[in-house]
Amino acid sequence: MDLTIPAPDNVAPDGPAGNWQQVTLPHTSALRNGTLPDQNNAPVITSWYKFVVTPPDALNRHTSDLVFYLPRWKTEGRLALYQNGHLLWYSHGDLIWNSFNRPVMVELPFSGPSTLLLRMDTLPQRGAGITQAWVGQYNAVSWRYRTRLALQCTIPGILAVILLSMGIILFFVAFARPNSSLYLLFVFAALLYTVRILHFMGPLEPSIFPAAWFGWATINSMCWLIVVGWLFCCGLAEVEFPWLRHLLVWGMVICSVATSPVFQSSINIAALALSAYIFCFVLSIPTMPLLLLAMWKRRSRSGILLLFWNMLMFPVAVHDMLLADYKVSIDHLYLLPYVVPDLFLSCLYILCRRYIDALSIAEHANIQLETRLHAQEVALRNSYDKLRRVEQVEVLSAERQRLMRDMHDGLGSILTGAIHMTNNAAPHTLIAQTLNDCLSDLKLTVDSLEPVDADLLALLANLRFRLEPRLHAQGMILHWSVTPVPPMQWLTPSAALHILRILQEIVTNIIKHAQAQNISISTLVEPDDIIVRIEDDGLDFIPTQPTSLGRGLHNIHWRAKMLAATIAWHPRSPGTSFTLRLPIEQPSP
Amino acid sequence: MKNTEHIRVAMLEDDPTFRNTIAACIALETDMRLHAFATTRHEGMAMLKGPSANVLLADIGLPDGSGLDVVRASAHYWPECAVLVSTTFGDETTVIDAIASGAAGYIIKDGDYTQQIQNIRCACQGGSPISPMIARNVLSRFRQYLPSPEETLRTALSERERQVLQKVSQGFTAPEIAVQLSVSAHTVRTHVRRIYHKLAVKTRIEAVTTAQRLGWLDN
Repeated sequence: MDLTIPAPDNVAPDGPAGNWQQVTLPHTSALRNGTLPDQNNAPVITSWYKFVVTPPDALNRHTSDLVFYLPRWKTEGRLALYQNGHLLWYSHGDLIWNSFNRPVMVELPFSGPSTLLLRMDTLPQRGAGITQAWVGQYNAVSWRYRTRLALQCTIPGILAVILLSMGIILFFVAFARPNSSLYLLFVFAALLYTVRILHFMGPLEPSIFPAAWFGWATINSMCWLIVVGWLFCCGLAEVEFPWLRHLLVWGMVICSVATSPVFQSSINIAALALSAYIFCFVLSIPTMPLLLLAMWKRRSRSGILLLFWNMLMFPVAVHDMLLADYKVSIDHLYLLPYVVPDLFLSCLYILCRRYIDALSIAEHANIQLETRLHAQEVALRNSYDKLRRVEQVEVLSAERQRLMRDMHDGLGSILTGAIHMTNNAAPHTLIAQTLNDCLSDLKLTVDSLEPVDADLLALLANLRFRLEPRLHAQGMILHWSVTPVPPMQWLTPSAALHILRILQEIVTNIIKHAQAQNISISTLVEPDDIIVRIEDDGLDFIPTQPTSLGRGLHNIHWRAKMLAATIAWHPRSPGTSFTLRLPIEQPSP
Repeated sequence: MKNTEHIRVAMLEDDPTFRNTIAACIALETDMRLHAFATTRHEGMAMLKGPSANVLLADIGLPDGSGLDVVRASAHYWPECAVLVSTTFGDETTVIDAIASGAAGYIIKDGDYTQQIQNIRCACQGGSPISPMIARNVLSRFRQYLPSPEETLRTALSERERQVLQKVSQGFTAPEIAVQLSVSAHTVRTHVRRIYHKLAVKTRIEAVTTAQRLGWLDN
């Protein structure tokens, strides 16, 4: 008999003639024997179940209300239902990946007493069975059907979708972060589980997807799921079994290749499933105590929980395998679709815990970093303050030393000279002149200490204010033609004193020697320099030979050198023009 | 010549040499006379109770306290009197403090005597002596401690006053500024006097607002 031929539309109302037996449901009509089916020799087995329906008379009025309900059936073949010899329903899809896990509810068109025949075709040596069946009014039976449908198909499907969406989220986490192999393992597991759960949703339409590849994917996904789950546990416990890992992974690779439709028929693949499951489980079981010990040492409660679920998998898997092999009542549900998602949720809980822990560690680290940064800032500020204080002290002491030297060389020597003069009974006017010089010098020193904020003009203005009375007393007229000049940042008190001394020396020389009527002080700005010019209309004075320079001129040259300034005298007719050329930016030393 | 037409000069000075020198110079001037003199803060305060002078020359460092107290009190007792503070160098700190207390200017003790007499006469006529450094510092005083310095400077001083201060700080004298601004030298000096007055008022207002802020004026 060929299973590809559809069930006939009509059969004898009481079924084929033969030796009918009374059986109790659930019933296993054929057991599995032999690993690989012998397609050539053994015949297809056809089992007939006959149900005699005698509804109460009251039901006659509602002809369409009577239904036949079968929670589960299982065969690698086809199922068909007849009422009084007429075909009512038959199973669709692939012969192996059929709707074995989907409850059947069929409306009975004839509501009176009738005979129902359930015909079940089975591949040789593959086993077959049905659960208890119900015939009754739709209202009385439908809740059973609905519940069973939800438990066997809908809820596992929903769980798979949930896990898959978690997997997608974690995929992006794993994508964004290196060294997140645990996240990736979860993603793989979710994918594998979704593939695995598909066959419970059956039937498979071979026209949409090849049955052989579907079987291959279904079986291998389960095996890989076991391997991936084991790797996840190892990763979490941070325990390595390199030898076993290689064996499992490469074993599974070989298994996947060996069971691929390239080498095997769809029927053989289904038959090989059990061996593959056993291979994975048996190899991973012995590592469980070691993993448990590692989790215990790490005080990882979630890890222990995960292992607990993992170990619960074993009896559950055994139950499901026995169910698939007709060793357990076919009335039972497959339990793995309920246990595996719990396992997944444990994994997810662990991953979330890790994520949250990592976040709090990062936050803590941030706080610590801030504290440390603050401490360093304070330390830096303190050391900066200290440095500044030291610098201030140094500047102050340098300034003090400069002032002392200046007073010693300037004021001191002039005053000493004045004392000598009084001792030598020098003329009164000479002593007065000397003391006046002394006072001028002191004023100059005081002026140099005035804060002028880089403003040369302020310095010159003050000089004029000091000189004016003297010029006035000499009957000289001062022409003041200064213009605003750019700021000179290097104008420190000592630089200011150099400038003041140079200019005072020049003016004093003019007063003493030039016999001038007019004296003019002006400023001029050039790109790099500020020029201060002092012109008079008195006697020519051009110091040409360095040797002929007096002490005052020596001083002028020295001070100009200290300022990186240049000085020059030019003849006028009549008189002399003196220029002091000051750089706006002091050349770096 | 009648008494009333003389410039009456009062002196608060503990240094006899300087006092005598000035007294001698005043004696040489036909339109000036020494009105009264005191040598300590205490005597100075007592002197203010008497008839008012036109010009008061006040030293700051006195044996029994600061001459600035007398300067401040003079605004009350001798409101018509122009106060000049005498200093050694015309150093700005002393002078600015004195101006903030109501002084009209300063004279330099070692300056030549014609200049000192000229300053006394200038003060009497409502003008005020000023030096570049002081102009500079008055400008910065107006800018100080204020949220928007330039803005406040503009509201505190008129454009002309600001120009005058700037010119003085660049070393120009009153006659030179007068030519540049096309006004008389006397007007320039009056500007300076007005600026001084504003500074004194401003200082007083600042003192009051500070006191209010610190809660000293509660009750």
